[in-house]
Amino acid sequence: MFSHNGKISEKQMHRMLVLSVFAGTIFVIPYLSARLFAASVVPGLFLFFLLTCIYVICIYGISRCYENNVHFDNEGKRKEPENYNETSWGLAAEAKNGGIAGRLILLLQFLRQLVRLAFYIVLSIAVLGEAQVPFMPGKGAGNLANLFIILPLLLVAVYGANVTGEGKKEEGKKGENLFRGCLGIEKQGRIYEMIFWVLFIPFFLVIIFGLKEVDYSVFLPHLDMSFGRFILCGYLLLVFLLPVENYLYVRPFLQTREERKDKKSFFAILLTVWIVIVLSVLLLGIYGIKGAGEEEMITISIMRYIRLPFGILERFDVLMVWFFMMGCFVLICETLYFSGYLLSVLFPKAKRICLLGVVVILALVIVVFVPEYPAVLTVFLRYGAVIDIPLSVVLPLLGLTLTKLARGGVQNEKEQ
Amino acid sequence: MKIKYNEKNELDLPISRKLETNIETLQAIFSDWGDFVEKQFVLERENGSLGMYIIYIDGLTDNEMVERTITRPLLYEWRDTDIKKGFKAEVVSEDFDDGKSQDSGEKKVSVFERIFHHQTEAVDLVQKDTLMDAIACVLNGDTAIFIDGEDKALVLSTKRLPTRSVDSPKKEAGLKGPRDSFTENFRTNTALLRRRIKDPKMKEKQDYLGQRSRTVYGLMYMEDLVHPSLLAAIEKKLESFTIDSIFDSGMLVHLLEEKWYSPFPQIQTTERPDKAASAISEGRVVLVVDNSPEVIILPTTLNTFFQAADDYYNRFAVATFARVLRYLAAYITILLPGLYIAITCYYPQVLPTEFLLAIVGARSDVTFPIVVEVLLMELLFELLREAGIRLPGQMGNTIGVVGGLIVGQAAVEASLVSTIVVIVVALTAIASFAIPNEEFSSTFRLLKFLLIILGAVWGLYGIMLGILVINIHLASLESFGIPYMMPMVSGSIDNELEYQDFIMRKPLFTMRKRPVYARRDNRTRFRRW
Repeated sequence: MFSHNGKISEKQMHRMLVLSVFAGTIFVIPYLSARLFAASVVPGLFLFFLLTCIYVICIYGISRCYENNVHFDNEGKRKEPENYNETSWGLAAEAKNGGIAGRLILLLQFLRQLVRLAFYIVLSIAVLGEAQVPFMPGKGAGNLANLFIILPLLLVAVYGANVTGEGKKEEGKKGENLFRGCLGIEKQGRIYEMIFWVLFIPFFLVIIFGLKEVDYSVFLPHLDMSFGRFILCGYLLLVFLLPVENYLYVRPFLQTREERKDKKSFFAILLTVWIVIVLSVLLLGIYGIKGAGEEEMITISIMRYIRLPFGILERFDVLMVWFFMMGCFVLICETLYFSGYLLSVLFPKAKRICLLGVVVILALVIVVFVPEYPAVLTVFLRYGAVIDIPLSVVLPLLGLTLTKLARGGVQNEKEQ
Repeated sequence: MKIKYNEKNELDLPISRKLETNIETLQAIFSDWGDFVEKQFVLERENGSLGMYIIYIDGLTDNEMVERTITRPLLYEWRDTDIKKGFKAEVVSEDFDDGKSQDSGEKKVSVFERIFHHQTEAVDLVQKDTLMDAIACVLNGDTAIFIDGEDKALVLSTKRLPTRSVDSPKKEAGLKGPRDSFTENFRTNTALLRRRIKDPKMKEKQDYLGQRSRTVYGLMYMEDLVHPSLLAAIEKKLESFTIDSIFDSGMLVHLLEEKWYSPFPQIQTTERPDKAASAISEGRVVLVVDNSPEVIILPTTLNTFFQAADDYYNRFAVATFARVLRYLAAYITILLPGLYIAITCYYPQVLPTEFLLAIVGARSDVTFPIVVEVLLMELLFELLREAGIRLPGQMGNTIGVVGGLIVGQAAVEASLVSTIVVIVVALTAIASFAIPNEEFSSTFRLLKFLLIILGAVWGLYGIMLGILVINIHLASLESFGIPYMMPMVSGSIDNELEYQDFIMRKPLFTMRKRPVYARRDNRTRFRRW
């Protein structure tokens, strides 16, 4: 009746984006903001928010371009996509051209997702290290035993990315193979709907019970760094907002396409970033900026200092890690899902589960080479700032251009 | 005479105009049937005689009715009539002998028509054109009458199947509401639904399943509410397999479920007619299966398993509170033992010191590790439960008392288990009984063991992995196109309407719209004038 339609609701799209943005930032932004901005953390976080707005507007603009150029015909009339390749950027270019340029874009997109996945795996190992998981020898991925601990989580994420992508084939649909990868997207949306509130629980507790512990004097506004460095630090934080670009993948699968829904999605993302900023400020207020800058997993360690009323639990940081692991799962599962999606388009005949297996193995290989969390964080920041953020804008634009060119070619052929 | 059945276990033989041939065939089919009753009559009339052959199965048939409506009228009340004399043509519309007028204003009709329309005193009398149809009816408890010279049979509904009377529900008892429940009799069950919904738009599509059992089933639905695609999907699924026999709706449930390996029931069954009637009025389809005291409701969601019939007869606050308790009970059932193991084994620092000391004190003499202790008690409870079900009523209660009190106490005194574990297991058991659907609560009890093992191996991390797997699995489940986790997921399909009957059961007058199962153009179910 309703399922297997390859569509997601507006709410599901919000939650997919919001969860990945929240989980992708909450573990790192408090620590990095304290480390990068030091005493200027409050203005720095405001700058981060400003840059977020700009980045989000960029992605929104690209999405509108696709809407106008791919989903409208040359006379400006709205048209339903002829096949589902057209509904997704990059894929459109690949399908229209069938050439190397389109495939190259897809490959680059996949590699970007792969690097991100590797980072999320290392992040998860660091979180698990805080969680005092039984039989976990150390915090870093360098110790192979830790990779075995993370393996069950990866398997669960593969299950999530596979079971949700196993949508039934619809006979007679054009571009069936290319669309195959995303057929079960509604199930992916359902997972995030189910765990949405679970992820926020510990942070509500932080706000409720930790507010009284905050020392507001640490936030006295002053700027003691150069303007260039200030901007650069804000830009570096933007690296963790890259899951926002998943919007470009997800949006074509919206059940109803209306402009106002775009705006709602972006307001939801901005609200999430704002919540992360508020939480960061609270965490820094409790922990102190200097202390926070030296504690990589401040978001988790802070839970040790919060006491629940009535003496229900002596410590609840360990329990909270449970929720943080949900965040790690969201990041890994979603990245895996979109990696699998891109690979499904590149290799339409391959089984999805095999593709996901390949993705996991490749990501683990990367993790083994750069095992320690602080080192990975530094590498990821540099890579993100120099390569990933620019590519997140350039590649879609390139795809759009290719689509336009392909359309022009088709149009010329028709005229001839 | 050798009878040949086709691959569907059916006979392809027609009804012969020669009565002797039919008798020979039927006697061959029913050879070695001790309960097969047959009688060959000759109707002696003014101007000749006519051969007839009546068959039925003893024990399935009301033979007095056969006497009263068939044999007595034909053999006695109409004995002085002319069997071949015609009558006013407007009485019948088809199957004239030769279509010519015999006397002025009268047309000659067949003997079959004459008996069918005039000389029998039964309403539920139908004509069957093939031998297989007639035999199928006979096997259902009807009586078939074959007439010499006719290539069709009369079938009189004379079912008197051995059945119990309508009883009170055993598995879905409630404090408020009707006390009747479905029985094994198909017609009684459909009548219990008809009694509640007196609307001509409630349809009942009837057919049979099982090549050998030929179990009758009926799809009951509201014509103007049900999604045609849902009905088509159910019919397609029912036609997609053949099976030897269906003995209960439970068998059909397994055949209809999309994901057979899932521990979660994707199809709901109920023994309460009020619940089934409510489902029909929501636009769902009820599948009534002969010989089963439970009907199947399609489609279903996880939420419907938490709904009890008397939720709608109680005040909304009470019903809501009960629902909250049930959801809580489900979480306790699945999580408590696993959490207990994970926390006490790996994270004792989480617990307040006094509580931790109490646990340590209680476990001081226990030799087994915590996980063995919990598994031992849980298995003991499951054994007691299984034994209690299989034993007759009073003995079942005794087992409960003996197991719960005596064995539990003895186990604690023998230092096999600690008192805390007994409390944990008892709380889990009580919580599992608070889930209104037995089949559904079994799922939670089963998954509890998975989480116990994961908690013992990886602590809270393991439990989180288990919960994630369950979540992903639940997200992928669907019941005939409806997401299983509605309204927690995909609620926006229906403008979040499903939340009116979720954990909070809103007051009835605010539940103005029918749930997602009903057609979009016919959603209003309550309005004030």
